[in-house]
Amino acid sequence: MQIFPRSLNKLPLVAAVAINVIGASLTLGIWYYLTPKHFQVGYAPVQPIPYSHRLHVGQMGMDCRYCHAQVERSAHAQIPPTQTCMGCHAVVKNDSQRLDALRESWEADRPVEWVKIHKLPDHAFFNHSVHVAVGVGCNECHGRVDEMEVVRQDQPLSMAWCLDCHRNPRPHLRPKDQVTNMEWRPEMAANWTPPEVNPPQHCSGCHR
Amino acid sequence: MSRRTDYQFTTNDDAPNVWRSLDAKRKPEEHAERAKAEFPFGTDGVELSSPKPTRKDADSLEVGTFGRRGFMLFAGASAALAGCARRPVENIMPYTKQPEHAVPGISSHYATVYPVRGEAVGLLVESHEGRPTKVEGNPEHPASLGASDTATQAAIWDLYNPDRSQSFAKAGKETTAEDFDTFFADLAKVVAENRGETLRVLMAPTSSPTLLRLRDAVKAKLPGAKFVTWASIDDSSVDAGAKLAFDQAVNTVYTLDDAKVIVAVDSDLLGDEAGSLKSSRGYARGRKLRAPTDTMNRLYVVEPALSVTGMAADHRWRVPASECEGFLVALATELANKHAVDLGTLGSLKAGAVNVPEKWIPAIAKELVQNKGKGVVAVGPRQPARVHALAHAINWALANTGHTVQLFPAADAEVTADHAANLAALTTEMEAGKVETLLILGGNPVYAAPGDVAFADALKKVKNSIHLSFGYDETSSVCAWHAPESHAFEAWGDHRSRSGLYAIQQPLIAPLVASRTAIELLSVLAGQEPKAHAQVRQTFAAVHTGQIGKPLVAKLQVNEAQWKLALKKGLVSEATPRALGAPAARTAEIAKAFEGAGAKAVGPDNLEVTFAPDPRLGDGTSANNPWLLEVPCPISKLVWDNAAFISPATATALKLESGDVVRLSTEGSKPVEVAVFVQPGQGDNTLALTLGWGRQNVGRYGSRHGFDIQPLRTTKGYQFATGVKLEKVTDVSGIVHRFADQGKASEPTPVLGRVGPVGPFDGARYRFVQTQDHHSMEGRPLALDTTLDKYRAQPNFPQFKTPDPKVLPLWKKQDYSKGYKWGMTVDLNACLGCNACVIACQSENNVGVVGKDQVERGREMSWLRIDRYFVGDDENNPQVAIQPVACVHCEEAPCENVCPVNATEHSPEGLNDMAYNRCIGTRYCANNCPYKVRRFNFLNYHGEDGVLPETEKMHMNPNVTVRMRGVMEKCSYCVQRIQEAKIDARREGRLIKEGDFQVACQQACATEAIVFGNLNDPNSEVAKLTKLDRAYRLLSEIGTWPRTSYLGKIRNPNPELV
Repeated sequence: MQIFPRSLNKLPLVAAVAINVIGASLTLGIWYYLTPKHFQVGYAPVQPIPYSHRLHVGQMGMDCRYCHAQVERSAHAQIPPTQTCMGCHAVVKNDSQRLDALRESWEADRPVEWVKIHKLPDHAFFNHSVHVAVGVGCNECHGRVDEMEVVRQDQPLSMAWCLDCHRNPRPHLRPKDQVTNMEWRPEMAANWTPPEVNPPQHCSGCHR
Repeated sequence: MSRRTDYQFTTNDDAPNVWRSLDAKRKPEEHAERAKAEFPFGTDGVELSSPKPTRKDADSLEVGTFGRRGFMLFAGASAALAGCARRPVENIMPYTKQPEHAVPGISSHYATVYPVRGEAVGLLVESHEGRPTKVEGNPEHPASLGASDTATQAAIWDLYNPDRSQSFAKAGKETTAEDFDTFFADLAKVVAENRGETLRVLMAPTSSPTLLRLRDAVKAKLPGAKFVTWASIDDSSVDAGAKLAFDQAVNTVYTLDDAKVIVAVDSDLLGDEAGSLKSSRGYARGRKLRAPTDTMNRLYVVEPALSVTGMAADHRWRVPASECEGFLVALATELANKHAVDLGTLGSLKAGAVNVPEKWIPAIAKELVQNKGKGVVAVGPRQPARVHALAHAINWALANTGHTVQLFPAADAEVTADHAANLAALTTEMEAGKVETLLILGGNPVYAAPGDVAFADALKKVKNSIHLSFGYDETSSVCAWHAPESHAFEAWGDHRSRSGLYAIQQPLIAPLVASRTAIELLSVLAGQEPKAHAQVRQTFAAVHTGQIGKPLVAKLQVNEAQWKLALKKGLVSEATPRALGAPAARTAEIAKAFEGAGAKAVGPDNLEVTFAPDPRLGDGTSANNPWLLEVPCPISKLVWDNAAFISPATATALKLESGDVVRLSTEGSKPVEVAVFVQPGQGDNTLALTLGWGRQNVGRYGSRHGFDIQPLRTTKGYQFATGVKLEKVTDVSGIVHRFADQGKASEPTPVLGRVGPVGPFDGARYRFVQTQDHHSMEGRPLALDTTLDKYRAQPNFPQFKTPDPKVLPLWKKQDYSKGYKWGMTVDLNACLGCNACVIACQSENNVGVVGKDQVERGREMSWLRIDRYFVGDDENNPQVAIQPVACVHCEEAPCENVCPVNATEHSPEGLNDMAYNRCIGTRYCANNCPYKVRRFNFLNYHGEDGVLPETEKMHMNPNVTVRMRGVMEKCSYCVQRIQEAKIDARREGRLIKEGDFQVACQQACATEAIVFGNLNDPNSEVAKLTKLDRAYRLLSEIGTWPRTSYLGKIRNPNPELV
């Protein structure tokens, strides 16, 4: 007696194929999409002070190092102390409501609690100064900050992404005096040959 | 057919017997079996010495509050949740006003000075964003020469000690700093009314010119007040002996660089004595053979108990402390009578029976005479003043004084001898009600007073007792007032080194708790400016203008430029006094001091005990410091304990074994229960005891560890005592409460694993834990040593060296000939086994502390261990070989081949890297490591989240990952320092050059035994040393190609005594 229709004979095969395909696509999907490239890029939290890089860098043309002053010396580029902001804003826009938090910080001697955007894991020891010293431009990692009203993460900052450049650094290098130039393009120094930099590709280069 | 050949090595027949511990020597098979396991005890079914923990204990121990299954449940759930959640929000808090020189991410070093054991050691302390993290020696300071010791290295942990005194106290209740200040200011007025008649100030001897100036100022203002000098570690006989010899207060500094013969009489001059860093440097420089034609110094040691100096000796004889005097008298007589050395009346002193071999004294005397001006006779602080004076007379008569033995004017012209008697006199006064106000500046007399001085009872009769101390200790709790003392890294001060160099103690951080310093309190009493900063500046000005030592009449002008320079350099070199040259020793006066001397010989019916500061804890002030508690004792390799060391022969005679508890008492002392530990090298019929242990309430880590032997000291027997009564204790139930209750695994300990499920006793036997037993040598020659004559005959250690294997490689060998090729050499001829490098490594690399129970299981985390081997067949008087072993960074590393996840990998510069976040904890690498240098985090030794107090975390090095449970770790060759140097060099567009950086162990080492550098640079020190004929690579015959080379130990025995 035939209880099930004949067409069901194919079910095990179909099921086997389907489970494999679904499984594979799930795996690949998670593998590909649950990565910093898709999860971290674009992270643009609200900051306690609506500071605009587009205005300060893009329109007024301030150099990165005016605020991030230690980038050539230290591992950290350094978020500027309130004092740096007050250098101008004691006189400029000193009644703007948008700067209330800044003035409050200055008067109460309490730091502004900026929200960290570019986060590396604690076991990765990144050093800004050496990257600047060999001529890696700011916007290689941070993107066109001069066009950002609110700063967002531009690159995945994953280990694979780091290694892409460490394995082949030349396309990402520029003359040292152009490091902070947001509009720099390789064509601007056609006769310039990037130096041999040999960045580390072994574990202790970054993990200590 | 297997191509594998049996492990082979060659030793010639006269190679000495080498053994790791008594156990290993007596029962080699049993020991080898136990050491075979990768992690020997408790992890793979091998029984602990006490009953095995139950399953329930083990479960709760592993993860604290919930079991293993519970952990899996939570781990699964949190992993699932983590997938859905965004990263937590982190904030960046910039400065509001940035200090001028503070750059986030760049550490700065501040020069300061730290008092250690009667010497002021100049330091450079590393600070990250205002947070001190690491101590280094100041290369320009003569007492440091860039090196440091365990005490200075561990000082950084003490700063963040969570159990340091947190507040002022009045009658045991918390009070405020304002309350105390008001009380103290009023008190200063009250004591002034009767010119200080009822005021006593109890303080330790000091070299601080500011403190001494204030002391004189108080005395001038309050002529009735008395200053009582007392410290638990009484080194006063050194000064008193010098005063007796030269009739002035002088400090003795040994300059051993050119010394040819060193005779140490009960003296640990290379280990735990004032100026040991400088002495060690000089001693080692005289032994760094670069070729067989080089000469080296010879060290004779005569001592009751094995010491760091004794372990380094070429000739060592065990003589009871009470008979060392006889030895020196005999030596003096021999010098005067046989060699016509002019010792005046000292030449006719009567030498009693001397317990050294017959040939010894003539041989030593002959050598000393042959090396006039290049010999040293050193006496330790345990010996009475007259013995020191006699040594001075000998050194003077042999023209050593002024050359190898230098004399400098002492900072304090008042020499006060015999601290115990001082304290006894004060106690009598207190009992008689003559003391209304007692100011105790540091120290812990209630804990450390001699057994026959009832200081604690007398203290109750004092109306105003004030105790200034770093911890709220035994003394604080019975004093009317307690004031927290600032740490040396928090307060202004100053010190003079023994050679007279003035250095300013510069604070690195504002006091973490409201606290005061001795300078501040004395200033109030003297009616002067109470700010330590202002006081020190006045002293500085006085030093600079040559007015030091005189009372200051008017306020001095401080030269700001000079002041800043002094702070920057950490010292004031312009104002250094000159060495005194060679004043004549007063032989007649010294001879007078020997009248009536002579003690009953030590023997089985007249046992002796000797007291010494513990090589780890000192006098017990730092007894809560887990680094010091866990570092193995350099002599016995015991952790978390002290013991009464007893020689194997005496132990057999008294039917005692290691762990047996005995009750000791001497005339006038209180009885003391202490467990004995059978220690090869210990003198017969003499027991060695160390101070500083057994404190009942010192903090979460140090409370109730070891044995408090203070009550056994008496005013007469403060340094050593004979006529000891010894009785074996068979029932320990009366004393078991004195020890940390290791029976409860669930006890809310701050860090898991620091206590374990096994109690302190195994029946009536105390459970000692020793690290040296953990691994077996498998009969291989590891620490190579030979004598100078044999080395000269065959410079290449041919009896030990084995060829590198001639097996074809399985893969292409990496080419390391370009770029940096890091390597290290360790000179076994220089290494003293002092542990400074071990603590330096721990501090630099955030190495965890695991607790006694975990050490027993073989889970200690120290990246650098110091192996101590006994050499020779004599159990009672063996020679010692010391070998520091850390990861040797094999070029063909066996650990790398077995890691399933590539967590340990080789860098192109030859470093064996460890990527902690890749490690899944299979422990294959540790199993496959022939050197046993890999360490596994069985538990979260740094504490589960939120368990460790915030302040305690502050000592961590921010440049090194803090490892968690389940991760393997090991020596990284301080890769963070290499990378920092590389980044600095690259920024300047150059390559790293020799001297740009040092690794932590190398930097701490006083004897320059450890050298690190680039092997590809032919001019680097390490490359040159690797090519010496003494160099060998550990276990090179198995083909690991280690980067660390050892330089074999060469002993220099006197041919006449062999």
